[in-house]
Amino acid sequence: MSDNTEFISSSMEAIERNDDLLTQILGRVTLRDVITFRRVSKRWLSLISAPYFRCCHASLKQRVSGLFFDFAPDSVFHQEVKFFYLDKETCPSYSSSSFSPKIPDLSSSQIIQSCNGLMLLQSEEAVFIYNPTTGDKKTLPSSFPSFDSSDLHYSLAFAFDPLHFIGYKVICIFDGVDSKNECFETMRGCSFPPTFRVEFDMVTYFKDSIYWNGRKTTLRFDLKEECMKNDMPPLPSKTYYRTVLVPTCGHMNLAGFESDDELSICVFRLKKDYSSPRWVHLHSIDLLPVIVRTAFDRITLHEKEFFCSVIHLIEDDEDGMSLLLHVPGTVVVLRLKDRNSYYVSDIPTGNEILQKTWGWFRAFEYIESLASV
Amino acid sequence: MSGISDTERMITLKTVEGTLFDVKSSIAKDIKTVQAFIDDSDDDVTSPIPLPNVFTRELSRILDYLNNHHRFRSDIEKADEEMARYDAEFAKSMSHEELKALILAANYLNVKDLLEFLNQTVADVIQNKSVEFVRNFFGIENDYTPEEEEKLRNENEWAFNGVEQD
Repeated sequence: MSDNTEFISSSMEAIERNDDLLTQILGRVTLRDVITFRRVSKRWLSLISAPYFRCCHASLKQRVSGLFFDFAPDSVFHQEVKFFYLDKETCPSYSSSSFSPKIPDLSSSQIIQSCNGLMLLQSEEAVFIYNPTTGDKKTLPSSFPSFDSSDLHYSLAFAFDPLHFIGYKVICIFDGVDSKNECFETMRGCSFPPTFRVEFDMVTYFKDSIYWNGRKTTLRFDLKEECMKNDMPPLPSKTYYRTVLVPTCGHMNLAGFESDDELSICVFRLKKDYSSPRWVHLHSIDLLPVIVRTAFDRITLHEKEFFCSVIHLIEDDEDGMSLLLHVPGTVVVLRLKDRNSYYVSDIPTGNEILQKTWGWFRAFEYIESLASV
Repeated sequence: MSGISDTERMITLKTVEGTLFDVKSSIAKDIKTVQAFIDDSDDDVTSPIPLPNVFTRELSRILDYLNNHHRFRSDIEKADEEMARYDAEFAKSMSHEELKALILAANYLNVKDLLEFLNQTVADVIQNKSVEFVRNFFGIENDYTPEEEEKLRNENEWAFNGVEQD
């Protein structure tokens, strides 16, 4: 202890000699960097290759690093998925880097949902949990009760959140249009079957709950209490079609078109500062300048049929977001902070026309994860 | 042991250099190593607690951080916002050497939130950096042969079942 300088200089390297500290630090680095950093030294290689590291990396909060974008509007029957990295400037780009996720085989199965690094896939015969980082896939046991499928339609929802609970949870919703009890008759504790259309195919997980957007309000399934909750505020009156629910920046957000103007988008955030939650208006965006800038050569002005939709919301930083938009012929990212837009990809013309009949383009988040399935 | 409820009990910490710091017991609770020392001693800690691995510069920074965070937490309205701003400034104010020294001190004292924050700060520093930068940052000698390194460079896929070693 008498020789302080010696102590200081030796302590400088002590992080490097402390496996636990190093693992904690490297667990917070993206997988792309982790793969690069194996070259630092042999010790780093063995540390990174250890199962303990995989465990640590999987249990720390990671950012959304890319999007799986489904170009096929008839998602129920088939998907055409391309992967984009979200780079620092939120401008998605085709992956050119050394490390890219493995897109699942979509010839027989479909992506139902993506949640904190794992995906729920469904084929005609089975349901799978898939990790696009490792390519690991597991078939779930078919423990769901079987119903006469002719009058009941069923949808799946999935929750994986290593920061909040162990393992993952899958729930199954049966809804039948003509049956007396309508939706949720198999759900424990649901005494308020909705009397309006609910898009059960569009599932969002956020903080121990699963959410679906209905025509009038959002439905919430509480995973802790394992029941539906009737505590969500009605949708803001302005939004009326194709709204997306996306958690970013630690809050739930809602984006959709304003009622009588298909070229104006509103973004809302769910606030809970008082006893009951409410949707607070954050942004209104006029799409026309974006269309003029990005897709001017693709539109004929006398044609009234524009194809536009909100596909997703992307978190830029702690309080900034971007919209992932479909404007005629193209997908663009619109940064809300400065209203700058970035080109992402073209959409095949055929797919765009089909959208009118079949539904909407979708994006599934990609978060690097070493979690086991 | 009664009648001293309004004035909080103070605890004295002593650094390597011998500097003494008076710390409120509510703050000391977040310093797990100190708290364990208090819990192990018989009730009353009157003499300074020696911290043989912690220097004055690091301890004063850690106490600054804890005091500020305690203050922010008392005002729930603005807590998150102010804390984020303070943390950003705190991270910016340190050189890489100071950052590393602080991690070791926070690790020894077992100040969980601060350690997590500092680990994230280091992760942000080395994010997207080259292998050479990281070696310099941590003072690591390259022990690969050029051939071994080249082989790893070409292995882009993640090898989940461990990497073969020749």
